[in-house]
Amino acid sequence: MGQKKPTGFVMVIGAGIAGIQTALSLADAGYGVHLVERSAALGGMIPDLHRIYPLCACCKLDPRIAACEQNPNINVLLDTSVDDISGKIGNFRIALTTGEEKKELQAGAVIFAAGIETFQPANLDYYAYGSASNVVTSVEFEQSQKPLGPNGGMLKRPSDGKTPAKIAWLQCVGSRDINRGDASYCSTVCCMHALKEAVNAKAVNADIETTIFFIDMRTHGKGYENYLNTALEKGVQLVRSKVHTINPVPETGDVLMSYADEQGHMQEAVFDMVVLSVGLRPSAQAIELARKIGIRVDADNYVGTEPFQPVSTSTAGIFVCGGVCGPHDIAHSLTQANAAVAQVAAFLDPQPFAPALNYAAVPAEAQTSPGILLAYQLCPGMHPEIGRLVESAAADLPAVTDVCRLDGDIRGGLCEKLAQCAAGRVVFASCTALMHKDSVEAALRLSGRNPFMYETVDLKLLGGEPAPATLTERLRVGVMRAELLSPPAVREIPVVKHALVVGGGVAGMESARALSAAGCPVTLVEKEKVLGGHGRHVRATWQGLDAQAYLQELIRSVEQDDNITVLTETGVKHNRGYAGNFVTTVENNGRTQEIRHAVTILACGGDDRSVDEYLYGQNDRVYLWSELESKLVSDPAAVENAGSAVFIQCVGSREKDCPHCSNLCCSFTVRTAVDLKTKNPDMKIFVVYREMRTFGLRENIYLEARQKGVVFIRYEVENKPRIAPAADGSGLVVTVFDPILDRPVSLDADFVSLQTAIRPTHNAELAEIFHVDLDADGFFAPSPEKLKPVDTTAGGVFMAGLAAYPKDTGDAIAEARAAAGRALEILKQDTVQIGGQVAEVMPEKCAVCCTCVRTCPFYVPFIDHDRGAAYIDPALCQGCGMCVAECPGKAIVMPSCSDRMLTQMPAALLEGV
Amino acid sequence: MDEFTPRIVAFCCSNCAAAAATIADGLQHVLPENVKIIQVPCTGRIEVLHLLKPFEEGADGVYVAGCQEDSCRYTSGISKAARRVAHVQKILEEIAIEPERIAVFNVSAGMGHAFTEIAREMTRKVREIGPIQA
Repeated sequence: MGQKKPTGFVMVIGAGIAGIQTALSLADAGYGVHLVERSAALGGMIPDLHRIYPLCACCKLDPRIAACEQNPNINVLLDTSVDDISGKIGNFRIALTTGEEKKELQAGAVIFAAGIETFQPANLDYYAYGSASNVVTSVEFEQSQKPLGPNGGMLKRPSDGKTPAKIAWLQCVGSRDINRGDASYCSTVCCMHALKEAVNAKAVNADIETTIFFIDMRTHGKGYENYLNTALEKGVQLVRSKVHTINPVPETGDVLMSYADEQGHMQEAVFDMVVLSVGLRPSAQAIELARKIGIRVDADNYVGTEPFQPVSTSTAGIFVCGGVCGPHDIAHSLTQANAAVAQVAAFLDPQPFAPALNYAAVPAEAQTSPGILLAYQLCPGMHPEIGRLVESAAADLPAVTDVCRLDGDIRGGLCEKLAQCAAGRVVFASCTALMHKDSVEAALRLSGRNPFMYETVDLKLLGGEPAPATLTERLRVGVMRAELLSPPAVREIPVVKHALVVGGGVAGMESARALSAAGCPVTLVEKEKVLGGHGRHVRATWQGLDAQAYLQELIRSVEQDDNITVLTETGVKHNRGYAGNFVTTVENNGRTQEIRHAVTILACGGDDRSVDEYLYGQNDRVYLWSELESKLVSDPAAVENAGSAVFIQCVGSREKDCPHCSNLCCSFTVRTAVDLKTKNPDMKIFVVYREMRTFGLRENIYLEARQKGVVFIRYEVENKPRIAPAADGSGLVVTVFDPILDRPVSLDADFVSLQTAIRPTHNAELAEIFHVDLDADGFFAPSPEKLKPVDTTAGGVFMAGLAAYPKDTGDAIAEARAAAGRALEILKQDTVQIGGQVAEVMPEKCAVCCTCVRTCPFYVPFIDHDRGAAYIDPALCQGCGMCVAECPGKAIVMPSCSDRMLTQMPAALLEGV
Repeated sequence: MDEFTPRIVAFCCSNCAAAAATIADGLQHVLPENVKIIQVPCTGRIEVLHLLKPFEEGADGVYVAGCQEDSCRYTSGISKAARRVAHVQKILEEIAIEPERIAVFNVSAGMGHAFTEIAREMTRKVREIGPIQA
């Protein structure tokens, strides 16, 4: 693909979830990867966790670790530290120490994924950590929740092993604390972390009282607000407060919490135990190394990045992802990991250690063997009895010829078992079995079986209590389905080296540019006349950088790129095909054309919703925030010279009909307020908010705004601010109930900006066309395989930007490049192997009646006069089966959905119901 | 006496199956145990015989869940299925079985919740009709 670039290996430093994902994705794209880990094991922080929102953590990491260990293109170096990096982009020399041994390796690119540490609260004596044994950190508490942890999943407090009846969480320990906590920023993850721990404590015993003491509840990510609302429904209590001290209660082991409530009144409460939600710090060793090799480190001690180059360090060819470049959650770390892959692909062609894994040819006997291997994997949280029940159920199913239990490494374990037995089919049973389908298919391929001859059985809902009848029934149905499978022809289809990007905003253009840089031709489709989308009225990033200058450069580079075909005023009409070979019909002014492509990136944007409250549309001093930003771009003086302004947050947002949090509105408001105050220090600016969600390093500008005199007043959704024209007609008056003063206050405003919810614009329509799912808020749903934040529910279709979830420019750029990175994993392959879900004509039965020719929605069958029968090209057949149903002579068959299956299934399914 | 739990067989297209997979994630929207799913690539694959077979095997109800009429990936699959369901209703009437025991539903991509609702609605409807009087 594309012009000549240097080739090289890649070094990934740090093997937490971000480093592991980077290594796997790079290896899939053909690179040889050195994966360096300072500790003795892969996995980083995640093995310490019980659950990672919204799932349990247990089986998410092990398959990835196993895949790293087994991939011939990943060289895992444990107990290894990086001493120095020299050389330059395309040719780095990395000095390493493994144990006593020193060595030097070469790589064309380096990815810093060295991860995080958690804040150690022992120095903060007022939290009594270390002196009161029932004060623990959030990480320690979570370990005690792990079914395989020291308590076997039973909640016990450290002092006496008593099951706690009242637990308190204390937020922002070592975060948002410029006194002794030593970090001004917000650690981003702790609100969700505390909610998760509280919900899981309630899951063990609903009677446990759980109370979270917090400043602002920051659930700003995709699906997070919904999790908060569920937690509240489950009885988790939230207390907005500032905690003063924590003291042990003598003799009882209990803990006394003294805190100031929102009105500033001192309160006290006693708990059985207290959990300190400790903040995040970048790995100290990694930062030391970064400084040594001259990589810029920011004021908060993280590896410095720019919003327009979100995974680049100050040194060309060295990239960064995960917690070492800011307090990021797992989803964002994974997004950055995938973005780093796209960045590498832009300047370096892959140099593998070994040729790609060779799949064994499928021997005929293994293809046709009716024997079934029942392989199962149990979660640590499952009742131990389930394993025995599976084994005994299998013994009663005659079709099952072999049974095995898998632990951790699904692909390796299956390969090992398949090498020893003759079974041609697999039934795989586990919690959320679908998530492991890639591992199962890979194992079948590597073992010379047909990769589509498997069924999955989900054990998820069987969690704690074994329900023998349900379990047996599920296994029976799964095995029966596997029995009725007919081996489809496996075909190798060439990958069309072309990508389609839908949406010409920042995310779409960034995706297109990243794909083009990696050598892949792209068609970029935009509905409007011009490129830019909402980016056209973004004045600045939250860091205060000029977004318009960036956008103009981006548009120019996309328009001048020979590899990118831009189609404006063009809509998408229809899509068919599969990852590696899609055909999409687009339409421009009544003219349609077909585009063949291997992957699709959906970056179709979103809009801030209009509202009919707060005089919007009735008074020209009231703006939606997109309108205010437009004005700040086109006519800034008009805004900057105002005497007073009120920003109202969460307008038509986080309410019943639109429950999600729009993520960037708080940071937008604070950035705008800071800049207005800088230009015009006399301007009075009030921000009326429900929770300030300036997460991560954005907290620093919140602090700056308060220092500059911006006034923040909180309101409750039940008691919204009121707005009216001023009596003298000069402006507006906003009245809001101030909870600290405990009375209403009136604020003068020359203008009011309404920060309304951001909602997807074209998702519903495009979801239908591209066969992907939406989440409850109307954004594209993530892949059910989990931990793939830019994958949609359909293979080969990725998402980026506002259509995936509201996010700011920097995060949208990271996501766009991540989508490109994931897409490249497919584009870098020469062929895809697809299961033959196709119809086939049996010439001896064909009466040449042309029914199939007329039935097919895609005009595939034709009469082959040499054969004297109809012919269906398997490369074109879309596999709907309509011709099979219509053929009056029953001359067309479909092995993947045969008549035998459809007529035998009902009896088997209804048995025992 | 225990309440009658109808045995129902549902033919679902791959689009619906994807919806079902997403709901399997959320504990609150579980498919009722009395509804058994047979997945087909497209509802256009289903023949009259396939729809009658479950009744012969003791099902109390059958339904087809496919795409919206205007958004079938295969253009016309669901409308063909609807025609076949109508035909099977006539056959059922002729042999003195309530034609309401078979139905067709349209589900949009991503409507996991609607998918379980349909299963419950069909269960309710067939429960009202009662067991098949042989």
